[in-house]
Amino acid sequence: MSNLLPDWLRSWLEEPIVNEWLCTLGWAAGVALLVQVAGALAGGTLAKSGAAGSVALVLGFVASVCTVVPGMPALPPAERWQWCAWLTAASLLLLLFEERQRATAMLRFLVHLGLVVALVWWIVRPSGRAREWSPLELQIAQIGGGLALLLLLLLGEARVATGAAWTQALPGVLAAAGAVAILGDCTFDRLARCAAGLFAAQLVALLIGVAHRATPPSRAAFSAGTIALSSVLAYAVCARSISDAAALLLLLAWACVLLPARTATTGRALLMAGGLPALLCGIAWFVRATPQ
Amino acid sequence: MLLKLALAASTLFSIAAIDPQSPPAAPTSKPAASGRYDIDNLHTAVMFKVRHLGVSNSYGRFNQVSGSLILDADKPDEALLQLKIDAKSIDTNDETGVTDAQLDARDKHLRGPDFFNVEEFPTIEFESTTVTDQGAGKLQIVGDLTLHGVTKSVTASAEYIGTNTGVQFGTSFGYEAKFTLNRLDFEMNYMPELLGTEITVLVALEALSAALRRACDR
Repeated sequence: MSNLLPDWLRSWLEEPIVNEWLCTLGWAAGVALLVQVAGALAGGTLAKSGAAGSVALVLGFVASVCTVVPGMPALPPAERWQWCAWLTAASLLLLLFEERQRATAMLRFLVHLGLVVALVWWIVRPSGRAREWSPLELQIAQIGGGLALLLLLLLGEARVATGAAWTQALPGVLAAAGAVAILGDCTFDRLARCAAGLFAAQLVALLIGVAHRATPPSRAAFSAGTIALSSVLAYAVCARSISDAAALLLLLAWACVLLPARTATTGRALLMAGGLPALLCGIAWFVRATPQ
Repeated sequence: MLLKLALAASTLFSIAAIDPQSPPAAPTSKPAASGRYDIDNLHTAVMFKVRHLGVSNSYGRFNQVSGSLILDADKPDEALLQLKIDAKSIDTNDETGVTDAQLDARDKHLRGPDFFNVEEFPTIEFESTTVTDQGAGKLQIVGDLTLHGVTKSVTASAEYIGTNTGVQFGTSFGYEAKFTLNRLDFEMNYMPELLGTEITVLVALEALSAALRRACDR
């Protein structure tokens, strides 16, 4: 098999770092696929596999973190970026619990608020960059960023309930792919590998969504994915690994899920769910580096 | 005429005494006298060695080092050495890239969260806790090393190099110390299979008496 590959590709694949990336991708995609299949089989109906989609997404992402650390990070984690695994896992548990309760919107709002506060408290607050900010600037950055993320979670969940599954998953796949490329190029390999896990899990979700168009998308999957990506990007920005503009553009690409496409044609939906996020990721690539 | 010659001679002598570049007195074999000394960054080097892919040793250094050394000639065991290294000043001679992105890429990676995470942990610090005179100009220095936000005790063996007694401003002297550490102990656990986990650190330091430090700074 290896003889069939051109020399340049074979030597590239033999690079240790490429091997590690492929290993991370394999674990994340494998776990996500396994959970999706198990969920569909156990659920009996495709409708019930919506929850399996969110479990698959989170377990795929967490599996990628586990291959990088290696193992599940301790509590509290040895390094701050490892909080992203715990935050994502917590978001899944809380959101699924809330979904089963069929409670009021207020409870869901409180869960979202708690997740955002935890992200700001554990990942953004002790930032090394904060040394250069005044207390007022720090508060503005934290409260402003937190409110923007909260808004994205609330609006995104409302939007996810009305669109086709694949239009929800495609912006996520592209934004995660952009994060992988940019983090990898800006020399933060471990976090890039975690983003690669998110990409693989999102890709599985997309393929399942395309295969079963009638499956209602999972709101928890969107929120858990948002927490995963935003925590990864927040830490990369705090560590000055990627520029603020690149992180913002990647989040905007992810937020393309908010665009209304209910009455649109498939072509227009594809353009909005694929073309625009790809454009935003492309711009993010050009502004990826932190000014030295 | 005699007065002019005397004035010229005294002026020349003063310049020679003030100019830190003037030829120093011959180094002595005795360790420096009691007092407080500052680390001279210009003549101090902190270098490290790490195994690369199991096939060679890669070397790097930190270019910004500061600190002080307090010595008591009667109680050498009570010496106190404090070092502060700017983690951002890491330098592995990586200026061979073709494009801007490649230029200094390895050092950028080392400054990033995969390794030193300089945004989070901008300094590497060492403070001695015990100094033992082992005779023949050798010291054993035990101290706390704070690296990557983790503080661990390390033991260095140091060798006295020499002392230069200045004419007007005081004394400078040097030691060379060596120790090893496991980077996993400091939670620097990126790619342990490809990059060695045992790091050898060599510190070649020159300390100046505070008065000479001020003269050099001028």
